Amino acid sequence: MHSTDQVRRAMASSLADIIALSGEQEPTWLPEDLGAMLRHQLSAPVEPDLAKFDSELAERWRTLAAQEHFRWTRFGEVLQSQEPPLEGLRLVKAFARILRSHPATLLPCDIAAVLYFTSIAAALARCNERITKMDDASLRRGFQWGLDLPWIDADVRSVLREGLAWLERE
Amino acid sequence: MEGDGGECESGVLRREATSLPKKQQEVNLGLSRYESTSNTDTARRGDAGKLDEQNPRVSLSLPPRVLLERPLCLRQFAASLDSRRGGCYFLPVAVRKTIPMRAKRFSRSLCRGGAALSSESIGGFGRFATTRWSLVLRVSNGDPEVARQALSELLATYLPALRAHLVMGLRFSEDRAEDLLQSFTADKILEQGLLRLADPTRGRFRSLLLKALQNYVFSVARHDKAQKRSPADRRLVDIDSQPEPADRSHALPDIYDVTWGREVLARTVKNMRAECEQSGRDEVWDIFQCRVLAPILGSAEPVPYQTLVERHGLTSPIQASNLLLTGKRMFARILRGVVAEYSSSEEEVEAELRDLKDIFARAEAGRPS
Repeated sequence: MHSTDQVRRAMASSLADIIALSGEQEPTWLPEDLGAMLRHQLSAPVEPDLAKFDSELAERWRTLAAQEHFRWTRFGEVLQSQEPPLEGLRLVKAFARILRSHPATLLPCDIAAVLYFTSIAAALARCNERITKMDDASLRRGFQWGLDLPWIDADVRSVLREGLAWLERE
Repeated sequence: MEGDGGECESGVLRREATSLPKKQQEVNLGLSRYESTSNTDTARRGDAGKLDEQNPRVSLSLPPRVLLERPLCLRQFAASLDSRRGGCYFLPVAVRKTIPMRAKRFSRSLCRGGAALSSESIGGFGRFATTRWSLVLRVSNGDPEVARQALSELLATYLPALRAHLVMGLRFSEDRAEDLLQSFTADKILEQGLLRLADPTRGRFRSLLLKALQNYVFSVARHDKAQKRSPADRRLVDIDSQPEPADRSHALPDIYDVTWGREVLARTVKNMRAECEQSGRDEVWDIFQCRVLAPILGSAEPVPYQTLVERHGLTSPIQASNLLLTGKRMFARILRGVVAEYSSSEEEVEAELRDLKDIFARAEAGRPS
């Protein structure tokens, strides 16, 4: 049925919803959308995104990437590596903090939060290093929150699970 | 020709008529921008002093034989318009007496397919440049072709609401409601120029239109009861001088308002789709349709952004989300534009937009569970 015909036949509540939704400037996301966005972010190169929001972070990344045998270029490679670069994890964590509050960001804050806690979990579980001042209880809540999300992929879920296990051992 | 001109009511037109070949006589259909310099004509219309003498008449160019013998369908009427001709001419009295019949036939065409009288259907005249003028003002004060286009658009939006009021509010049968609407359009809008009298200080246009229809319907009922109507006598009681009829449908203007609201939204959806197609922004329309319209109107599941990314070759779900925001803003802008066409001020536009939300909320709240 053509859209205009549907409008003429629609319930009043539906028409009210259309008017309300058309006025909303905050996007609404399906779980599939968030999953797709996370995958897209993990596959994105690190340096251009850092440069977009913080030139100092971008410069630190370029210095890091210039090191010999440095082989990581994308967010997913840094977060899911079995031997990730610690400085790279710090830069991803800093980038995630910026994303959560920057006015120009288009990424949903949940995506930024997943990057944040995954970088911390990777540093704990795979580098045996803390890169945050957050206490263990807060970290447990954060890791568990991420694990409860239905749209994160298996690799990210594995890192968060390892981080939670690391905290349990300590 | 002199004989014809002798029966002409306008001194100005008599002079023009005498210079024309007989085959090129034209008829004045008395559309809303009808105007005359004649005292007789002014007196007949009963609204002395309100005519705009600057506005030219609307005219047709058809042989008198055709006008007498062939009913005018909408497209024939539209195709017969000749905006290149200047000046207007009167037909003999015998033909002028058919004017109310012509107006009724024209109004019937408008009632059945008013939206068909688009600029495209007025053969060869091309697309009019539209502005944000109030449609009501354009009907009253614009160029004849612009006035006709505006009238058609106006009626396309309001006739369904008026029809709903007659059928569901006043409990007329659909056939009777259609007859009343055709007569109302012919008598009040076309012949008596109701829209010229629309005054924003007297209230919202849609309220004025509803009130005019209600008064007309009650007047017809009283007239039918009072006397048998002669086919030659199309004049009705001047309802402006009648006492205000009792409002028997105070709870039911919601039906009128809801129907009007539906037409406004339908027009907005249609205009948005057209704008996206014309500007090559098909992806904006598709994303808006998939994420907003279809889920709300058809109870369909929203299409995931990733699917839309693949369908339109976008770079990321974020880009798809941005395009949805673009679509929402476009919808809101076009909705505002549609409402503005029926409003005479920014304040009224704001009020109508607030009303639109309230109308649907009240309609939903009042729906039987």
